[in-house]
Amino acid sequence: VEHVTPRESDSGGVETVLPVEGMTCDHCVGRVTKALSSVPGVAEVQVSLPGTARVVHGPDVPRAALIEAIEDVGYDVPKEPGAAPVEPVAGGGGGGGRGPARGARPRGRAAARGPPPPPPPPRGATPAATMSRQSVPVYGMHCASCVNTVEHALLEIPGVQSAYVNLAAQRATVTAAGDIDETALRKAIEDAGYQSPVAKAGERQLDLEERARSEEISYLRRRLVVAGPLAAIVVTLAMLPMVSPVDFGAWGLWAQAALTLPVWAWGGARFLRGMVASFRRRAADMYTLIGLGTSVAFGWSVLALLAPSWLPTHEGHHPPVYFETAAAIVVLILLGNFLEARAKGRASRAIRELLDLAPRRARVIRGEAEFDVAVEDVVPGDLVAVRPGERIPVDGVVSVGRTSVDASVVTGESLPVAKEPGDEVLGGSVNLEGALRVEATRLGSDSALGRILRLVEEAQGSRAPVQRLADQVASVFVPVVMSIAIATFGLWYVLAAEDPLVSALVRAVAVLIVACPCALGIATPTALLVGTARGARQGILVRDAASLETAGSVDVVVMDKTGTLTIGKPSLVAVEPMPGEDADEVLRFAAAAERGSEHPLALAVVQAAAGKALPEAHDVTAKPGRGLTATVEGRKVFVGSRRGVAEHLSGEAPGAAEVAGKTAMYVAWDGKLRGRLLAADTIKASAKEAVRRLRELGLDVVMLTGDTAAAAEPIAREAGVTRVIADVLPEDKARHVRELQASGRKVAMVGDGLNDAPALAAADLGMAVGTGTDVALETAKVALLRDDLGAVADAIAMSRRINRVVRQNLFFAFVYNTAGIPLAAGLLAPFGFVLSPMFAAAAMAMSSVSVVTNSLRLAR
Amino acid sequence: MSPDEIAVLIGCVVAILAVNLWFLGPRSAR
Repeated sequence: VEHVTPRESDSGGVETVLPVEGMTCDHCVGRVTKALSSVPGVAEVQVSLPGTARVVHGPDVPRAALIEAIEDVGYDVPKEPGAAPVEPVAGGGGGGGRGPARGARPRGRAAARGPPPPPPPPRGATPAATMSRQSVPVYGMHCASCVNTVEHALLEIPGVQSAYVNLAAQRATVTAAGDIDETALRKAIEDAGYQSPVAKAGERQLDLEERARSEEISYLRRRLVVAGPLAAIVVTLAMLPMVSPVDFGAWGLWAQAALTLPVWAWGGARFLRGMVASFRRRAADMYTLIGLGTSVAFGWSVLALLAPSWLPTHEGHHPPVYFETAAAIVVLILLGNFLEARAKGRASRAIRELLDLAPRRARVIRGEAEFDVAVEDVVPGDLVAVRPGERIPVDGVVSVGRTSVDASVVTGESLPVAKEPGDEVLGGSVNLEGALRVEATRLGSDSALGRILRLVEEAQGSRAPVQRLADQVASVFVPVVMSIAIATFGLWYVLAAEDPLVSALVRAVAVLIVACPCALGIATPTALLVGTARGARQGILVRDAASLETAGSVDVVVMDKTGTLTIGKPSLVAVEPMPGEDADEVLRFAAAAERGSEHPLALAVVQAAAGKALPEAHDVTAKPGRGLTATVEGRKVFVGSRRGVAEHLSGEAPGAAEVAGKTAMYVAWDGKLRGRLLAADTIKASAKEAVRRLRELGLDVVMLTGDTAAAAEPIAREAGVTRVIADVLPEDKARHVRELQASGRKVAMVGDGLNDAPALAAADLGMAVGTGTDVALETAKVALLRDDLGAVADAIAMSRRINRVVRQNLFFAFVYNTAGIPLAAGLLAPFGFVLSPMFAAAAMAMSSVSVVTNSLRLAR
Repeated sequence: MSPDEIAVLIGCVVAILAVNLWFLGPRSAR
């Protein structure tokens, strides 16, 4: 069997590229990454959609072990079509497969091996040739049942592999093999009874949502303005004779009927349409309950008015009518929807603000002239003019001009940063001082801001495990409630002492009304929507809802030392002149000599000498690994390592001992050793405070480092970390994380580098700090854009708050719904307590409003 | 129990079955 994929990688390990079938989402990527990282000997794992896993591992890791790890979590590694289809995978080291490194695309499943991929299951046997994702707006959904309906409608489209609908964000996201026809998605959504409008020219997604929401609000307001007063009159007409001697007689009943008709038919039109559609679709939802409840109340009353002889009468009385109930229910639910729509508008304003940070237009310089163009029309390489005070429209590199920029919206970093030609600037940051010309590099969804928005959207679009449960409950809930309502009717018909038909009917209607699962449907999404948007503004990006749940339950935080707890770059910590020498002189000469160098140690020296007038250096010669020589003020200066200075001074080795954790640079001139400079990686200013806050949150903090214990100890002490795991090889980081997990801890790993990626994937929650590499950011579940470790504590505290609000919301929803049902069914009737349909409607509307209001607390 | 009470109870049972079959049955949208 030919081995094609394993090859020596740059880092010395062996690299294997495997095709992976059945992955549809980031969740799958996470599972596969985790599985591969846990194979002993694996150093680095990179899994990407549509289906590739790149693994760097030791030479003794068999390919079969990797394949087995992938298959164990439910995904497939397709074989080369030519290979023997039933050859056992674990048999030989080769496995017979050929990675996509040669461009050979897997064709079909060679043999049915392993369990089918977990959610969402593949539809048909179509392998993931090219997976594409498409997201369209969906409006008109009002509860968790609608979510199911839309998802099923989308899954019916050929080629669609998974569909998820976010009720709060009003979006449907679909993954499919091959390209997805957006019109097909819209058609499916509209056929299911919902709307998916196309954006007008120049209209952004959010404008579209805003437009839909304001149309919704004005629709509801219109109906409320008309139906509200009518219903109030009906209620007065119905109630007044009960509490006062006034008697309106027969005309009062007719007036009630005439006034209720428009309320029920026009005001409640959406409920009626929704009810009819739900029966046709065989998918019950909240409108089914409301429509049924109001129609039964209204229909009964009309019948009682027109043909009282058809209904049983009690002791010669006219059968009672319930016009006021029908009218009040319609108005109360309209009011609930209205308040909810307004609150939701406020909730999504947070994202809107984020989007508004990206300018829509840019001034592009072509030839001599400036052209004002839409940002979408800028292409990489275009020169964009930015005036002082403006936001920079694109990610790019400064080509002309000097300024400082405020990049706080993108990075969360509040201090202005100086920029000069050659420096990178991020779209969305504010140009504070000078006019700039920026050469565009990354645009649209590739830009830093675009990536942030995508992560936020993904997090909001993903469904928390709690929510998945709520959705499932909701789809069964409605038929069950209808059953309970019918049973209530039957039982009270038999049990009621007087007016059996009437009390049976009233209670059945109350059950229908109180049980609406709308609050259940919005409990989680609204909290996530508000919470993640606020997090994003603080520079905390959470990838999905499940990670948010995990983040709230983490109990140990593992921090990588270099680059995470520390700055990751050396800075000068001491100047030690030889006896009789002046410390300032030593530094001045060293800095002058090092000024032109890009070496990190040289930068540290020059930075330490900032503010000093440095003389010019001539004849600078660098000796790699040794140091450099230069002529400064006529003197021949050497700056470099112990070995370098010994050579330079022909054998005279410096006497002072090396210091653990610090790097020494020796400075000599005129053939004599003058002193040494000590540089060390120092902890970030925010580290100490961050560690203290994490401890306050009840978390253990562990420092993980490749340095020796002696070198790591001072840093740990300074940061306030008590537990240090030192001498860790990069490839062992993930193992240490897993050891902590094995002892029953929930581990958050904070890292920044490529070498942290396996540990980030292995941890329950990977958090990448913003200065980190792209790989770390892609692997981690939480990205912290601020270069401030306080963000770690902020992120965990935020997740806890969001989780708490989600639980409160579910509690609100469940209490209203489930506690309401037995009350409405008349369980407490023997004790004289009966929940009338009108109060049921009020309780139901209240539950939605309280859930949304509770979620809005997160925005503060 | 009067005959019409029995009739209502039977009607309720049939209605419950119908609702559940319709919305939760094999061809429903669930």
